[in-house]
Amino acid sequence: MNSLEKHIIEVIAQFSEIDESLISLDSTFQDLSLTSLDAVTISYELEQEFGVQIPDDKVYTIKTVKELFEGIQTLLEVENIDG
Amino acid sequence: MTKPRSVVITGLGCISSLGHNTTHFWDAIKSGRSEIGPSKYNFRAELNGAPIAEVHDYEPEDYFSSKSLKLLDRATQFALIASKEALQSAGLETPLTHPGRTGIILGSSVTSRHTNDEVLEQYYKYNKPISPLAIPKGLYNAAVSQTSMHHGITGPCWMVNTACASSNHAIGQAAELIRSNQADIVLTGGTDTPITVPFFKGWQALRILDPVTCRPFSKGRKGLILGEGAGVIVLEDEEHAKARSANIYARLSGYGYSADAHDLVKVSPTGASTAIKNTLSSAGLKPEDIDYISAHGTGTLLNDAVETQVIKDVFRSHAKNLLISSTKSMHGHALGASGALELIATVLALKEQLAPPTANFSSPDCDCDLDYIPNEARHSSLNACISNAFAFGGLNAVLAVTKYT
Repeated sequence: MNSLEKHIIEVIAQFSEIDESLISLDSTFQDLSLTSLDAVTISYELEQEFGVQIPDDKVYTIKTVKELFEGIQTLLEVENIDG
Repeated sequence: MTKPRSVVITGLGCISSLGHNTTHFWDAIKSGRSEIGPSKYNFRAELNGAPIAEVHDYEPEDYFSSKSLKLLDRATQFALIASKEALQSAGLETPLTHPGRTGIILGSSVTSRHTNDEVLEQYYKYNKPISPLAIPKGLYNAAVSQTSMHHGITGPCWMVNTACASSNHAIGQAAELIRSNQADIVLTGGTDTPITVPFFKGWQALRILDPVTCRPFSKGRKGLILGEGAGVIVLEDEEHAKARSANIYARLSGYGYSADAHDLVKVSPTGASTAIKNTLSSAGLKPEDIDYISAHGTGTLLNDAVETQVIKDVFRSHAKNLLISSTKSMHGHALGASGALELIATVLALKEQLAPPTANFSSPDCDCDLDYIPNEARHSSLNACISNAFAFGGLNAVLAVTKYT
């Protein structure tokens, strides 16, 4: 697991008050009893931290930790290329 | 023809400057203990020691998880605490299992004010981005929606906003839902947490805050004291309550409303009188049936003098026999929650045959010459009572409660 994956799991764990060991990349937000509003809020916290923005039409379609990771990673790669 | 449904009160819950539950609230009222003073919270430091009636020793984490608090405004938290106590006192297990037959109607004047002020401050003062939680947490209906979700309430649910009369309007509407057979059980009352720094300064600018304390109807009164809290009562169809052997506190026997259509801040004697007369008519009571009036009694020079005149106009020769008090002298003016807190005090007064006092009463005022139960609660035979609320905007709502026999 790379450092970004680990960090995203830490953020989700802190937000949801769920032990990190119970969260994996394959976890769905539903598995973690997180609502769509929770998912948007977690996305927002990561966006603020990394200075990126997940497109509005994508943010409500993220269902798993892996999809959130991939969304953030893609944006960071684009930013690095642009930068 | 079926018998008209009758509405009874089967549960009480509250949080205010007088304590975090109804027992503490009533103990303070009985002893005439006023809880008014400077804020002890850092987030109110900019009030510079101005007297308020805030909820003491309140740590949200004692009641809610840090995750759930992300979505709970202070007013919503208070509504949840009061409604949980009210349901427990009614002997109702939650989640409620009466699909579509339970409701919740709450009043609030400035619900979610803390959240919305904070969001604006973060944005304008510190140039911070707006969180996705700002809207759902700051919804004006958040208190009702969160309470319905917490307790599985799936019938009629909404918020009422009529300033200081919000609770009384809410309670009247809740009773009407039971009378009209749209629900069997309705939680109702109000919640308000109006003591944010900018909102408080707005009240200061109106020049109607007392610099020391709240002394309704007394000589030397200079204004109101802002309070905060929530009061929730459980209204229930009488037959429904009897069928489950519920403890019945009192009967909610009537309600009446009016609008002054006159002035935004100056109470009109005509409007207030009309609301009281409509309430008596709704309850099938004559003026001489009333034993105790829980007054609106804000402590402003004008309100208390006008309210006294209104009582004299409606009750005529019986006015001098009435016991009248304002419990705002103890829990402050919690705006949209005040009516509910005052009705809870009135219901317990009926139950214990003990009329609440007006605290901080120093000496009689020539414009207020009735019996305001100065400083000490009084044992008396109480069978029928009314509770007044006359709001800014000229909106009036009065409730009648009678002893349950």
